[in-house]
Order: sequence, then C-alpha cells, then structure tokens
Amino acid sequence: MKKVLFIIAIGMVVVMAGVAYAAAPLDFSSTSIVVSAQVGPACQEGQHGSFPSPLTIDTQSASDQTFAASVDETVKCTSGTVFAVKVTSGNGTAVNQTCTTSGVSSMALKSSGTPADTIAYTFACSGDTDGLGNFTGAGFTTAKALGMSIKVLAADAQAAIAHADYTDTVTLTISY
Amino acid sequence: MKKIRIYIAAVIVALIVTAGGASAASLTPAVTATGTVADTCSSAVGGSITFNIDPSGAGPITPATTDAGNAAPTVKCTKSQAHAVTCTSAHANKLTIGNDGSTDPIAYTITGCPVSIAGQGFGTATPIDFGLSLAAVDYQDALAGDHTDTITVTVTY
Repeated sequence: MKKVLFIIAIGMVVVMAGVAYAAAPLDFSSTSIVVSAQVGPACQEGQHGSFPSPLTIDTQSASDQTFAASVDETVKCTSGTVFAVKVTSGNGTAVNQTCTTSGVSSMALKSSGTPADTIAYTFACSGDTDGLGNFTGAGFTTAKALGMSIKVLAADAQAAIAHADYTDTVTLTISY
Repeated sequence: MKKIRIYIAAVIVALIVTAGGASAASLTPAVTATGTVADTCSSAVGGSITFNIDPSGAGPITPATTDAGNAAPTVKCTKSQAHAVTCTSAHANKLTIGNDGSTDPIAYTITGCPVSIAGQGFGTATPIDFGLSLAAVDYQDALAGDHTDTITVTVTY
C-alpha cells in the first residue's frame, strides 16, 4: 500500500510541473484588424474672385480687350481629383458652360438703366490642366487658381453704347 | 526467568493482532486530487475599422472599434487573469492605397490600446477596443480612394 501511494505522489508532481511549464509567460495569441479608410473627392472655394469695378472698355480700340481678374478665384479639391468649372451668365444665355482657356461665349454685360443695351464678352479660365476645362485638385493645402479673364472683342466694344452701369453676374459651379 | 519470557511473547502477539485487525476492517487511504487551471488564451478573432475621410476637414478624425459598423478584435482567456496586450501596425502607422505601405501614406496614431485585459473565461470573448487618430495635416492632401492598414493585436499569457 505504501508503494502505491508513493507512485501516485510521484505522478502528481510530474503533472503539476507540466502545468507550470505551459503557463510560462512566453505564449501569445494574436489576431489582425483591418483598417480601411475611404478618402472621398471633395472641393471647396479657396478664394473668392472678382474683377476690377468698373471695367473700362475702350470703344475706339481696334484690338480685343482682355481683363484679368483683380482677385482670381481659387478652388481646393482632393489631390488628384479632376474637376470642371461651369459658367452661367446672369445676363447672357450661357448656362453651365465648361470654362476653358478658349473661353465661354454667350456672356453679356447689360446696362441696368437701359437693359436693351448689352455688350457680349467671353469668360475664360486659363488655369485648366488640359485646355478642355479639366482641372486637377492639389489637396487642401494647395489652392488651384482658375485663371479667370474677360475678353471683349473689338467689334463688340466699338458697337457699345456709352453707359457706366454695365454689369453681369457670373455663377461658377465646380463639378467633380 | 520463565515469567519474563512469557511477557515478551505476549507483547509480540499483541502487536501482531493489532496490525492484523486494522487491515481486516477497512482501509480508506486518502488520495488527494489536485486540479490546476492553466492561464491561457485562445480563439482570437479579428475586427475591423472602416471610416470615411473628408480631406476638406480641418479637425482630427477619430474612428474607433466601438463606432457603429466597426468591430473590436476579441479573445478568450482564463477568467480574471490579466494578459498583456499590444497593438502594432503593419506599416508604421500609415494607411496606404493597396495596403502596400508606400502609396499615398496617411499617418495615424493608435489610441486607447489597452495595456492588459482581464480574461472572462472561455465562455465569453473579451473585446479589445481601441481607436485611431488622424490629424488634418496628414489627410488634407491625400489622394481619393481606399487607404488601408493592418493592425495586429497580440495578447501575451
């Protein structure tokens, strides 16, 4: 009987030693977690543009007259995002026309006192990437300048009736 | 002399009878049963963090495993035992296009990764919640599209 008890006791010691070994702080369990972020295309106005007021149109000039913006319009878009600028004239017939280096026609300055008197002009955006009205965003720390300008053809200037109240409101819509 | 001899013999007999009697009645040896519960962990399950980045934003973005639609990784460990936890990015804490570690990286930090968790037994998985933080300066010029990283959560026991 003593021998049996002795053998059991030995067995217990072996088992306990085995458990202690398995619990040594060297094992680990790990898993992976996937982090996915979607950077969305976005655009916002960087700087509000404007033109000299008033524009002085020389009716005697034989050349076309181009007026650069006094403050260019700038846009911030997600880096790499291609966007277009659509132009609508408040007094002309241009509606959501893509602004390009060659310009949008069907724009019109109108005399507020004599609405029948208008001067046609072209609205251009020379800052486009490809000459076709496609701009490329450079992120939100770098604004993209549209390069706005207005051009009045010599023929339209020469035919204009003198007023000091020609205006137009140009609406720019950024599409991306 | 004779008396003395008898006395000794009687003592010997008495000893033999006593031992024999104990054996014949019942023998109930006590055997100690000892169980040891191992301190261990298993069944780790991965989670996910999915979120949108608006690059026009001005503030930090702080998604977390506790946000709706996200899931915390889980693990089952021995009850009430503390186990060390680490959370490690596969690409030096950068989200990249294609999860390649280099294309248009967006830096981030891991926030709230617990130093340790207490096991809840093997009937209950323990969630390991943590979050991320992205500074505006790190995502404002990011390219549009999916950016991914893999975080490995390790529980030591």
